[in-house]
Amino acid sequence: MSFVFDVNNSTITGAQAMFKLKTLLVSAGWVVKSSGDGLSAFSSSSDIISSGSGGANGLANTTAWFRIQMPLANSVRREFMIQRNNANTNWIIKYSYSANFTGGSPSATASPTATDSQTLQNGGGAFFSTDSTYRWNAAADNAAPYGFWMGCFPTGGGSPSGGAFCLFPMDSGTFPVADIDPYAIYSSNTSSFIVSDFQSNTKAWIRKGLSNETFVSVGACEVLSSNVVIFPGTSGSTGVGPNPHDGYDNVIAIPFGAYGLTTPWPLGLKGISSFVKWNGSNRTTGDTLSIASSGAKDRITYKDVNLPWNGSTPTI
Amino acid sequence: MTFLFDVNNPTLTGPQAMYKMKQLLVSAGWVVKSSGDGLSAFSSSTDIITSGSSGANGWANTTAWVRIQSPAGAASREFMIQRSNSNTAWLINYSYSAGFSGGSPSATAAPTATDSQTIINTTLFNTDNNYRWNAMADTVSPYGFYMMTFDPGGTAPSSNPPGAAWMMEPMVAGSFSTLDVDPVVHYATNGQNWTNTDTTHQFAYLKKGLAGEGFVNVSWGHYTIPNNTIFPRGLGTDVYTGKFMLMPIIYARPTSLTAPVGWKGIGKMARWISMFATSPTLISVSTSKDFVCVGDVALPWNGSDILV
Repeated sequence: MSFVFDVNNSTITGAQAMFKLKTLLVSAGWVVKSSGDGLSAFSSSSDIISSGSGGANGLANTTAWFRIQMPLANSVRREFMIQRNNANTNWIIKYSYSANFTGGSPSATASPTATDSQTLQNGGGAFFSTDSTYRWNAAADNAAPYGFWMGCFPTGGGSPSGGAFCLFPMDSGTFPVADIDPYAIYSSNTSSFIVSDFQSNTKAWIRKGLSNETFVSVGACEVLSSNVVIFPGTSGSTGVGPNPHDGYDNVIAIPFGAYGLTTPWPLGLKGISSFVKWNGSNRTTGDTLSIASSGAKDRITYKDVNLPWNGSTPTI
Repeated sequence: MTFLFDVNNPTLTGPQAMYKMKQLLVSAGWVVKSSGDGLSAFSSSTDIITSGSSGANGWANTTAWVRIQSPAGAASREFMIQRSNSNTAWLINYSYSAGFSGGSPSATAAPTATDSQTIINTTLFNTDNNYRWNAMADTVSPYGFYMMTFDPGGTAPSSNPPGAAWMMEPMVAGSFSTLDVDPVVHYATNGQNWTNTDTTHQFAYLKKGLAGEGFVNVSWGHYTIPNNTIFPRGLGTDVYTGKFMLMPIIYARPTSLTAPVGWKGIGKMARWISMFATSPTLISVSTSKDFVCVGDVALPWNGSDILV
């Protein structure tokens, strides 16, 4: 895996952030299959969205949308359909495992549909915070399984709030071999990247392609030792703390499972994440961790988790 | 790693089980450095314990003892194992590197080590001949091993396996700090064996060789999704295959406890199981019957059926 990054931006709007996500995903190999600018521009086969601004070919228009497709992975081409609602803060995000968004009557203002569409954000409430009040960062893997993350935090620092959208692949060997869609999708318009939000706003297919398949919330597992939470370290828990031997942060990949959040069967283990990890200590959002080597700054903390980072010093 | 096993025995006594453990460790490369039979036989350099019975050269005598050294040789890990005043009660001491070369050892007096740490000094085994005993030892560094017991006929899924549990659990390479010179966790108990609620019988060095080192309780961590334990025994079977699922076990000492605290590593042998199971239950993960479930954990198994 090799991540490409778009980080340390000036404060931006929701439409600019989504435009930059689209651009980043394209640079990682994704393809925009169709799009509409919410005004009059529309293409059933290509990308006509050329900016995050309002006006012609912009994404900052009501109902502007794009359909973006992942390169072939696990024999299918997954897709997201991302549409601005009536404000830069409000967005619709839908996921298609394999059917693709080829249905409906798409136009400049109408997005396409997919027979296996699953709604992650419905546009009814604010997904992003108020325009130009936050920093936005993102990374995308340019090799299979093509995971990505984007997250926001207030300009000047503070806890993330909204604008979180991540595709978390499960690490090889940690998910059932019969699971044909080993991903968990996190999208949050609230206090994002905290334990409780991870447990309610991360969704995945369980038994995809088999009887009783279901798209449900999959919780992120905490780890307790002597009945004390050691992962993640949070504002309410010191966590496992710095490593007693070398003082470095210990982080662990996050197991995801469906239990107690949905009923009835099928519940069960989704897998263990490949790149999102729990913090071992309570960290300030925007802190970097050097896990790969001393001084590497290869991880950035967003509240209770840490994510791949490019080695730079984050702009706060 | 190459695991050697001693399994499917008839019911045993404590000394018979410990004798078989010694023999298994020796076959895996460990060396008995000195021993005493609690009567009159003693050697400061070799193994004079030839059975798990009582009488001359037997281990079923009060204060009979064995000092056994890791295959890594001099200045490596050692255990001093001594029968107390019954077949059920045992003393197990651990030395990281100093070795049990001190004191005034004799047939009845065990040697000492300047870095000796007590793993257990109380009842270890249940009443003689009331349990089945099985054990494994790795012939490859860092030479982990376990022994476990369960009721003849099996122990119900909701109950804890009885009697002896003893394990030296190596941490998985890469999961522990490069500055941790003793990346193993010791577990020995009688009662609550192999259950996630038993959080007081796992011991390990933190910061060994560094300022502030301590041999402390480093308990195993369990996994929860909002207040529900999912590993161990909470998640059920794999919804695709109907099989058990396993999860690596994290060892750490919470920062709320007395220093030293923090991360130890991830265990190499024992793993949490995803659902209740009778002890023992054999499961197939990579190869047929390659794990045995006892309590809340799965331990490596040799592929054979198991005598219940």
